[in-house]
Amino acid sequence: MFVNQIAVFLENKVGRLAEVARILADASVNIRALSLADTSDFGVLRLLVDNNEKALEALKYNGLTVRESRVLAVPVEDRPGGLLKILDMMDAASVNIEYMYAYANPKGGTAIMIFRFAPIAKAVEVLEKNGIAILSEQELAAS
Amino acid sequence: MSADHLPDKESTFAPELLAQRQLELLQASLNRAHKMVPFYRERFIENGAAPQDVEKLEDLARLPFVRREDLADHYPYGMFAVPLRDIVRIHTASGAGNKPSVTGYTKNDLALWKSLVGRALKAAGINDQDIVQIHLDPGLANWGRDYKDGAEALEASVIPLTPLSLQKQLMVLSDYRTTALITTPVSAGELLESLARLRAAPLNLAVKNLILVGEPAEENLREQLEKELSLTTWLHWGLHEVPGPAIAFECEAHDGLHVSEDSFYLEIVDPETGKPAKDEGEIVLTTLSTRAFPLIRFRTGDRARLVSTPCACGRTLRRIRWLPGRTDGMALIRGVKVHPSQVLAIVEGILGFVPLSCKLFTPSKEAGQGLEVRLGMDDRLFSDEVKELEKIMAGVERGLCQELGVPVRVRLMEQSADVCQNQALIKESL
Ligand SMILES: [Zn+2]
Repeated sequence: MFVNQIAVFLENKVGRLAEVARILADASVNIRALSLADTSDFGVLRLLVDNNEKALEALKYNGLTVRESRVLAVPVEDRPGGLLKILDMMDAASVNIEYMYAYANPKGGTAIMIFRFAPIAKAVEVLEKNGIAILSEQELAAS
Repeated sequence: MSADHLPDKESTFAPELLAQRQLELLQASLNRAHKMVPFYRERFIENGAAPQDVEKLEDLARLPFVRREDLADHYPYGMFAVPLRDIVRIHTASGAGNKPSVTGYTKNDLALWKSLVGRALKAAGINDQDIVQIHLDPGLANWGRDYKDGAEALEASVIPLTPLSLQKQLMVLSDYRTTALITTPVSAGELLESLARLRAAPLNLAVKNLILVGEPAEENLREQLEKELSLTTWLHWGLHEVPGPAIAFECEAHDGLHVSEDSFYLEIVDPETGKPAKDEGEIVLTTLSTRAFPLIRFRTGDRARLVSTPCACGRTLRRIRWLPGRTDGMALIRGVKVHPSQVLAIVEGILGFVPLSCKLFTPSKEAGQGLEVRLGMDDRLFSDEVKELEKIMAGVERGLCQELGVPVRVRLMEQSADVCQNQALIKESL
């Protein structure tokens, strides 16, 4: 049920993001979603790709520091208040959302959000109890 | 020349008399060190020398040098030459490794430092009419105390070292009608900049004398300070270890710094060969009068050139011209000596491991800057959460800042393919 995300450390300077895109393109890795969190000095790029193994190898080979971490992919109703419902749920259960970002969903109807919850096990429990789907990597890839 | 500037008797001894005094003091000091400090006794034995073999001052050159590493190796009290019950003050200064240099003073030592610092301040015309303000980074807190004592010995009114913001320092400087300010060239430059920003309501300063300590002051900064603030600048040279500021000081001739040779034996050596330098070289000091912490041929790491012409002021104490740069791996950060290995040791202590790469940079000319530490990212440091990375940066910054007493900025860098090891070097930042 977890989705493995890749995080990459980047210095905040021109061309670094393009460099990562180039490395992944050269390795024939497709980027399905990304989010960049940056400060004045550095940034952390989070990626969902179609082949983690190949992506990690290529990024490391190019001297980048990477880390895999578990996130949850959750379909969110594509209407006002859709996201709020999940946020309220987590708030009530004292689960923190470290960050989240949107995942492209060409089929429409629902949006897919990627969440980094802490603690993640509790978040799973809350979602299941409320009957909210958690997408597996396969389901995400097929969406 | 006002009477305030008149040198004391010991500063004007004929060279032969001074040399005679120095030899007597040196022999007594060597004897004490031999008797009381195992480190020195072993050094004597290793070199087949005994204190009584030093029959003239030049014989001292037969003894080996003492380095900062030696002080760190004998942390904390191994270099003390008196029993702890005779020690009345203990100072800690940054050392050459993960151990600081610890030095002690007897009651007489404190009185001696008081008079040495007082002498140096007196040469700058400071007297009982003065209001003396001390503004130094926390890393120079020991000197703050010494300067306070020295200024008090002249019965000046002292505003001691207090950690205040630059704005507050300026307020005190202006409101308290400070007449003499003791600070580092970097801090003086910052004060000047802040004053320039206050053009709308210029402060009316009463400062007549500015004592610059901690690092050699650039000539153009001195000129700018003197011109824009209508004051006279005076450069002092000293050590954190011996320990004391104002071992060498400027007189009204402003042509080099007189070394208090009645309490120190001065050598300038070639840093490579250790032989007497022909022109410029490293300052090597031997203490003659301090009881608690004798230093024999201490390699200071500071560079200087001897000024051989007699001084117009009448002092016979030899003069040095303090040169920028160092002969050891240490860097001067806002007047505070910082050793790269010490920084690495602190970083390791905070992180719990040695980072793959840790590069150190000295401040650029930008005001307010301290040491810049660039940590190369690696798997043990990395997190996908920015806030975790910021926590690491802040923790290392706080720890270093506390230990070193200077501002520190930590930056996280990508691990570059070519540099994958620690560089025990401090470079000028670009
Ligand atoms: Zn002079």
